[in-house]
Amino acid sequence: MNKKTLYFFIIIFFILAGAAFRPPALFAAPGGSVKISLWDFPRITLPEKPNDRFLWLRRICDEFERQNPEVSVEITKLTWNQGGEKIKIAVFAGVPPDISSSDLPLKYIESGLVEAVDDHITAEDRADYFTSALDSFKTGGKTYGFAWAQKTDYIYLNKTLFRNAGVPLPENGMWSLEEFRGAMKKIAAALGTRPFGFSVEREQTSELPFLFMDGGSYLDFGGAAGGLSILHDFIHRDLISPAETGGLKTRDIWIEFREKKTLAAAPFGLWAMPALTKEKKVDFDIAQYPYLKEKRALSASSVIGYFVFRQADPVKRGYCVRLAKFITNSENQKVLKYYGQFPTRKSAASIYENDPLMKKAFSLFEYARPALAHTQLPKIDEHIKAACQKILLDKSMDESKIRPAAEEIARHVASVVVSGAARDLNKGRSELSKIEGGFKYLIVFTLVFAAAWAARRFYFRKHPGDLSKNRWAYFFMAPAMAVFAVFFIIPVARGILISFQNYSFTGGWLDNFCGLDNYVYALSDKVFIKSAFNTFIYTITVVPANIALALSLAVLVYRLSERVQTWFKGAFYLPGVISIVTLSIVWRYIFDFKAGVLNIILGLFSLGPVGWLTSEDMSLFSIILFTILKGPGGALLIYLTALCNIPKDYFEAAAVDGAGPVKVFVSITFPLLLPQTMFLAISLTIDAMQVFAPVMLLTEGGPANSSEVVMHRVYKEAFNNLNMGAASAMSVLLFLVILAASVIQYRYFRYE
Amino acid sequence: MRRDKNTTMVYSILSIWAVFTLFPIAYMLYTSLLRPEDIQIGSISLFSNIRGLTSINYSDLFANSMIARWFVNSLIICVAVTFAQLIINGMAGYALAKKKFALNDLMFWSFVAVMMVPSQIVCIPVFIMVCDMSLIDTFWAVILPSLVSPFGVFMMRQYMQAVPDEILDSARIDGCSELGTFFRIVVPMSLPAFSTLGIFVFIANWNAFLWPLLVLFSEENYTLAVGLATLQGQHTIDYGLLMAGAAVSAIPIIIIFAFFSKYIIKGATEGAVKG
Repeated sequence: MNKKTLYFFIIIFFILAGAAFRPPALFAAPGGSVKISLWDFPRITLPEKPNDRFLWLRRICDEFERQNPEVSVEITKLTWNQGGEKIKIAVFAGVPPDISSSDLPLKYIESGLVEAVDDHITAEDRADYFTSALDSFKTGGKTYGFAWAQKTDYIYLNKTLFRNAGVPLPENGMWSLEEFRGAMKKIAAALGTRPFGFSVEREQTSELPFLFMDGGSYLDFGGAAGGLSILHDFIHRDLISPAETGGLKTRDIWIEFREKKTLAAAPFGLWAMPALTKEKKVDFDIAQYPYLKEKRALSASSVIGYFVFRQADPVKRGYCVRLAKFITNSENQKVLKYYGQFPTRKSAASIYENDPLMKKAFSLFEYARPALAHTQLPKIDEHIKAACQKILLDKSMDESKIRPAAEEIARHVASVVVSGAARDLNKGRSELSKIEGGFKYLIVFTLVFAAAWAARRFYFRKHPGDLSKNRWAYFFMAPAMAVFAVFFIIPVARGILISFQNYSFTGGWLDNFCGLDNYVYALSDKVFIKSAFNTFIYTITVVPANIALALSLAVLVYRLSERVQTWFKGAFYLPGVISIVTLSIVWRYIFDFKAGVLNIILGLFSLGPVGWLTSEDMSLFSIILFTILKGPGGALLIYLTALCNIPKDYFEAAAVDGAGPVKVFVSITFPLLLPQTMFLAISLTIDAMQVFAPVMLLTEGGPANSSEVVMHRVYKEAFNNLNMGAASAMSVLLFLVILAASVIQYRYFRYE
Repeated sequence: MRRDKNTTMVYSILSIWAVFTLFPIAYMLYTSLLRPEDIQIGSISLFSNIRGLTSINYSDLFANSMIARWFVNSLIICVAVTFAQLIINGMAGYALAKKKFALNDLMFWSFVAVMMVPSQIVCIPVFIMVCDMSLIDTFWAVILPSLVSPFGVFMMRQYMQAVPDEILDSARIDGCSELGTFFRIVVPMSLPAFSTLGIFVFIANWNAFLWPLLVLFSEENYTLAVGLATLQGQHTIDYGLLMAGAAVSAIPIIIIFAFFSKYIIKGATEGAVKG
């Protein structure tokens, strides 16, 4: 490389490095102006510009900025997938936005992180709000946000299928369970399908009215046994719901209902209404959930509102609250027309006047009751859904077994609630300014530097004259060692430290020590044990399979001419360089229950369909299959290189002695490849034990935790439950196992 | 005769496996060109009932998502990390290979040891650190922790050991400074190693998933891999769009692979041959 090229690349590097730095992170806002950060989801698309999912919000904020010239609003555009986690992490990390939107943010309210807004709600506003909507943002006697949109779930009916089967639609959208079951059975008999689709999925509410039909609730799950056995009967006795229901997700049901039109009825949220109306693919109607006793079905309603995170500066607080109120005022609620949700203010209620279906939905809305608000809800919900998936997938369950199972779930939920309350130390860190955070690190780095300085004395005594002689050597090492120390060595030590702490951002580095609590918690967590077991299975299948495959392919390729070898090397190695995210997305489609090519091919032989990702027995196997079929690219190349380095005389001598190919392989090739095999066994084991991306992207650990693995568990514990201590403990445990496995393999191969 | 039969069998086994490994990639490209209706319904048969190919998924993708932005983000991050790693790893590798300083062994073995440590173990502490430094949701949060890779240092050291000492000595006698020796003699002589490492670092960072997912918050800062993973609606999944996105992220890598497969394949075997 000549000088010019080098300078060119250095300049390019600095330009790109400069581009990577966002100016706002470096410079404070110019004095006088108030900067408000607003984090929101892509909720509404306006008809005039369907590509811009934040235009509606930008317009409202522009209007607000025009009225208050000293304010500027910065919108952070979240995505539906992962967006909620991002807010949680940001709050936990002490860098929350100023305004965001969701249903009642109970956890933040309890930690004192949300501003009460009662002073800004006038009597006039109060009269204009639907009472239930206003109340849904009230807790402990105070209002913590401005309710904006409300919604619930409905049973969507495919009118064409009802007509074809000669079954009448429910009158006024109300029906009892018997009427509902009768209608479904009739359609099933007439059309030969299973007409009612539903799913049991984390963070979904559409199956809850069935689940809690016969009593029971999230916190008292024992009472839900009746509802659970009704759902179980739908699948296994009445045969009106698909057999694989327990493993399905809402999006599967949605495709069935909207694209394939095989379902006569399915529960969806209000979101389905605009999609179905716009596309006109399905001639549909809506109905309320069937009721069991009183003539009152109980769909779960939820209210979304805008709320303000705690502000230190009273001036800014005023602007933030006014902006949140401005977004949700009756005039701006008219945009909900394009969102397909109900306004929370009576004066905006007329937006659906010309839409008979929405009008009907709104009239059925009075039967909805607010969903439970509880700080531990995500954890409870996750557990209950996983347990229900398991029960619904299990054919052999019957009423007598469901009751004890439900009581078992209830007991677990009770323990989650209690332990959650005890462990709930995540108070956020908004008091601590960013400068103090940076200061903390300054102190730590100074300490490390001082320690290094002390080590220096020792070093000088031991190696006199080394530093002055080898100045340049240390100069060349300096950047690598600096990054290495800051981002590898200190974090490893810190990680071990955290695993003994009940970590919270408010605390200092050495606060909240809790002994072995985190390890006890990890080892008594059933899901973690299950994930450890799954990781073990994954490792002991994937590693030998990859090695065997690589070895046999290498032995075969080795015999071919160089040109052909190059071609095959390329073909086998290509999947290794393509992102695991890309491949997982492709494979999720290949594994898809209905549209996936695997089941289509099985269907050609009248086999299947197999619930590759949706059944408990197959999900882990599918992930293993994915890893094996992705190919042992790197391992193959390593073997091939090693084979080429074996002197040809060995093989010729063996051939002269009359040894067959199998004999040659067993007594010559394999022993000579032992060092490579050892290297591969260790490195593949390390990789396999850390499997993460395929699990997250293919199954998210489900159904019923059947494909949960350790790293995914760590991720969820750390970044969904914000339980950094327990997550660190889990990863330290994993590290110890990996270390032990490596040492054992190393010794075994050494001495055998 | 028997030999021919054997060779045919070998060829057919290898070809079948090649079809297995390449099928998902081909299928991705094919599906991304189908109409959305064909993709969702596809249940009847693989290839019948398909009404021609279309680029609608791609135009949808570029119109309805920020994929162009993600592409540029990935490019900025990968190029920055790659150049920084080449310089930092190259310097460290040179010192470890050619300088006999007292802490050489200690530092070398600490790099080798860290290659064994699962990298995800450090992600929680580093995440907390990045939060404390207020770097969250900036590219720096992605770039800084990946500025050095133990594997890169290891690889550069192995390669630079082959640079003859005599050349370095004579350069020094001719009055070449230490930096000059490194940039004018060692770097040009190790160019193959630099290019292999460069390609490797680029691909690894292009495909990086967990870390960017954790530290990048807003849609416009996502990298391609993260954006791709979040590329679905609130309630629905559009496979055509996803396949088009997957293709957009895979095509640059396939192109790099086609041009540089020699270096890539060489680099993949570099670490283990010494065994």
